[in-house]
Amino acid sequence: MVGEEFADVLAAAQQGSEDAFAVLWRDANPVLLRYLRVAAPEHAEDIAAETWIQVVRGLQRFAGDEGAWRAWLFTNARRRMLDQARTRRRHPAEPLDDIHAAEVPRSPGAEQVAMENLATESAIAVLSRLPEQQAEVILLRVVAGLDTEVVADMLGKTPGAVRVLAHRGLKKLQTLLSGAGVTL
Amino acid sequence: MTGYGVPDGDMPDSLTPPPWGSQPFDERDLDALLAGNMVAVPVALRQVADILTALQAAPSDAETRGEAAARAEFRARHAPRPEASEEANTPLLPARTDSRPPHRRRRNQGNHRTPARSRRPKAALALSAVAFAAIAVIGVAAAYSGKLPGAVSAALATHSAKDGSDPVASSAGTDGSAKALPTSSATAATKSPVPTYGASAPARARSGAAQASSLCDAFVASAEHLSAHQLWWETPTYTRLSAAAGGPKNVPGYCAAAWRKLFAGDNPKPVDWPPVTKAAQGAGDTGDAGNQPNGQGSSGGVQDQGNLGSDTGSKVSGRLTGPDWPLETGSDAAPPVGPGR
Repeated sequence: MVGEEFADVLAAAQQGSEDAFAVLWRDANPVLLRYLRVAAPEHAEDIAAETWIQVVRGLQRFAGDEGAWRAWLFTNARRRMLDQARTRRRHPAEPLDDIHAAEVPRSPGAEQVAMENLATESAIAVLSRLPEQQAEVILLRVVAGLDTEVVADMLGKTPGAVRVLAHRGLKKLQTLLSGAGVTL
Repeated sequence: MTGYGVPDGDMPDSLTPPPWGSQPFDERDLDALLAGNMVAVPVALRQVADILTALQAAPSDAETRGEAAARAEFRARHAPRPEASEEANTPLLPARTDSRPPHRRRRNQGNHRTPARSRRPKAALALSAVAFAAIAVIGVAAAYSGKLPGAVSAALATHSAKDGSDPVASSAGTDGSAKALPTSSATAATKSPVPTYGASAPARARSGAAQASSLCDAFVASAEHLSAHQLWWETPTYTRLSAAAGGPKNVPGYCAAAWRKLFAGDNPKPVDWPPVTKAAQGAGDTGDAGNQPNGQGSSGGVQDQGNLGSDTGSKVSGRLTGPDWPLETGSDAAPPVGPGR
């Protein structure tokens, strides 16, 4: 979270300061990616990029505190995610069967990055085993830092339903971890 | 430990587990985890807390890799573009205005600055102003020297002879009494209402010539009481006088005898000449009306009158050089005149 300086940073970004926008981006993009890696693991990067495009377009019209900013950001991301899922259902991509697995280009240093962020990657992997709504609620509550009411508005549910989903997700997660003996 | 007489410090912190097993955590612990409180976590939720902590870990390089693209998108949307700034600084209307024909631009500008109806009488007003400035010079000269300059006397004589009246310039002496007045002008003056004027009250009861004289005196008197926003050539008194004289150009000759008497001190009421009004000062700013002497005060001294003469002389000589006005202009024609002279 940006913290107390959020208002100034936002105002500067809205006035065209690229550095101020970078502060907002560095603060929110990692969290956004972690959310999307669980919610839409195959297209997290694309959805995040589209989300930021929407944010940049509407940045000058935004007004609110950091909580509202996060809510607006993740609402945009969720809409992009739903749009892309709808599009992919209508136009499914053809699998790249002709390409050998060994020929798939890989980014340099991917293993090193994976090792450095093993804990985060493992956490995302474990969280991805939860039911979709439970994982989404936990991510929005814990990773995005949104209140129960805000998450309820985003998902179109009551705060009580969101709280129940979160509790069930954590219990499920505890059961998975205790049964599998996962250690981070 | 469970019996009586055990010290409080030896009592367990919690009850013994129920027979169906222990409850490692409750909903408050889950809410604490969701709120980010990872400190007082039950043992059973320790691994869950580690997972949530890992999700909140510092960003990796992979997660900040797209910053350049995001910055580029931001620049494309929010950075000032040179073309846009130039367009913003470019006025919207000048091109259209400049593309209009010059004659149309001039006409529109003229219409915008001054209404046509106020421009039309400018020539007449200028002529009137010049005429009265000349009269002022004549009056001042007469009051100063007791007689009119020869050229002016000749002009007045010519004017009077042209109108069929007796020449007055030749008989104009230090007493300044008028022997006769233009009959044609007097005829015209009888058609106009005679203004109320205390200084020429005896003259109002006379014939048409006397009424013409009263018109001239009335104008002088009214000019003294003009407000700051009134112009003497726009007063009804002057309008009647000009009509009676046959035009602004004939006013000097029409009023020569009356004003000669006025400036010679034969008038019961002291009158300053030129008319001391605030409008006279304002008239100096109106271009054509600048022929009106300015800077003239009722207690004007030598220096003020000198300015009057120089102003009047320069402008009159530049505008009226016809045979009707062989005036001697310049500072010599503007001797100091005080009130009551």
